[in-house]
Amino acid sequence: MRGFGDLEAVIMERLWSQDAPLTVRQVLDDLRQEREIAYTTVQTVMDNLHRKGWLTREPRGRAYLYRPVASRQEYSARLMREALDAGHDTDLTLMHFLAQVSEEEAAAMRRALRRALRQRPRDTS
Amino acid sequence: MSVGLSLLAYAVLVCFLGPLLLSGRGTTRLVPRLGVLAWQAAALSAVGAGVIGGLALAVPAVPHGVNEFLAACTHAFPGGAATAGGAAAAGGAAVRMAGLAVAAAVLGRAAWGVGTSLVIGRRQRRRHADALRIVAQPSPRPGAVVLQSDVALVYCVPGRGGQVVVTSGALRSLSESELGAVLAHEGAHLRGRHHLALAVLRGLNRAFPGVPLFGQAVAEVGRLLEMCADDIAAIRHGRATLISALSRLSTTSAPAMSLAAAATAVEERVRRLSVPPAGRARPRTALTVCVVLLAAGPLIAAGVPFAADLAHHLLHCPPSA
Repeated sequence: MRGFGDLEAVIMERLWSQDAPLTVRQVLDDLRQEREIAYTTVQTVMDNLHRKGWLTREPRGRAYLYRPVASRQEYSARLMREALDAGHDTDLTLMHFLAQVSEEEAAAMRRALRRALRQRPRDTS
Repeated sequence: MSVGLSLLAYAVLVCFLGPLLLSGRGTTRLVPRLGVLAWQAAALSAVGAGVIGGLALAVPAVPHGVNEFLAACTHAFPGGAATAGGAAAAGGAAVRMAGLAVAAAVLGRAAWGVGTSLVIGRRQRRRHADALRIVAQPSPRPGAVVLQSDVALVYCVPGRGGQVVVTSGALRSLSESELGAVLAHEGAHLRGRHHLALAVLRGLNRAFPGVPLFGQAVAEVGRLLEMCADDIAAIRHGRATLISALSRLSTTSAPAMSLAAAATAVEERVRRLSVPPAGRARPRTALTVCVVLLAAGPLIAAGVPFAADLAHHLLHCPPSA
């Protein structure tokens, strides 16, 4: 189901940008303004998103109304937390450009940076 | 001393003295790639010697020294070995069982630890990457995505289709050229598959908790890999740019998240970026010797008992006798 990855992002984007929950049909009509796409495809992807816990749904007549479980900001915050924790001893092994540091450590670093920047002209001359 | 015991002694020696040899601050930092290689060589050498040492004790076909080897050759008739007596045979069986147990334990634990590390890491990274694909937004730079957050953070998610993640906070605080340097740094991690080196060492540390070699290897190699990536980024974007990127990201960094090791590493990274590279020939030679010795270590350890026995023979049993 690799090819659906992009579509998942597009559909979540649509649902995040709406205040109200949407049916598959509504999302389909929205998407059809930009691309040719089958109803069943959208249905499958939204079903997957529901199964993976991104969307909740409640029955409305013969269809379902879908709504994001959390806002994009909340998901961003969650990913950030995971990324920050990965600076510690976890198997996630993300590679940070610069791991987060405490205030006094940051201060010590800034001193080192100032020293480095002061020395620079002398080194290059 | 038997070959097996010599190898096991070597493994223990590397586990406890290896860190003292390699964490000598200056040397590995001057040539971080060789430093990483040296730590890897030490770790594999210790594990390898442990396994082979156990097997050498377990397999009776391996002569336990020149004495027995010569004895086996000169008295190459049945019954010669029987004079050893029943008690010795029983002791030999116990040693063989112990050897087998050591080999199996070391190999099993190592495989379990490394396997677990790799599998869990891959699963977690894939989950993180899948979520990023939905939550993160495209960035002006190819290969990087943007995560909305005021925390200035840049990191990469290694693995197939590795991604570099830049927070909107980081994007705001970096200039165009600084961003280029940071992305080059992360790209170096991804291309160099640095996460695999870390995962293997982390797995060994999980398998043998409390062994100084593996614990320190994880921390040290983590630092050295940052320096490797710094060096690669500095080639293209200049050391000054990288230093200012580090300073910008550190001054806008998040509320207290303590990670002492990383902080000292950053200070060191700045220090080594601020002095031009000079005199790397000596550390390079020293570390190359280290790597070769560690790679050949098990072989040397296996040879020690033979050499000792041979010397003993030459001294006490002259060939003319």
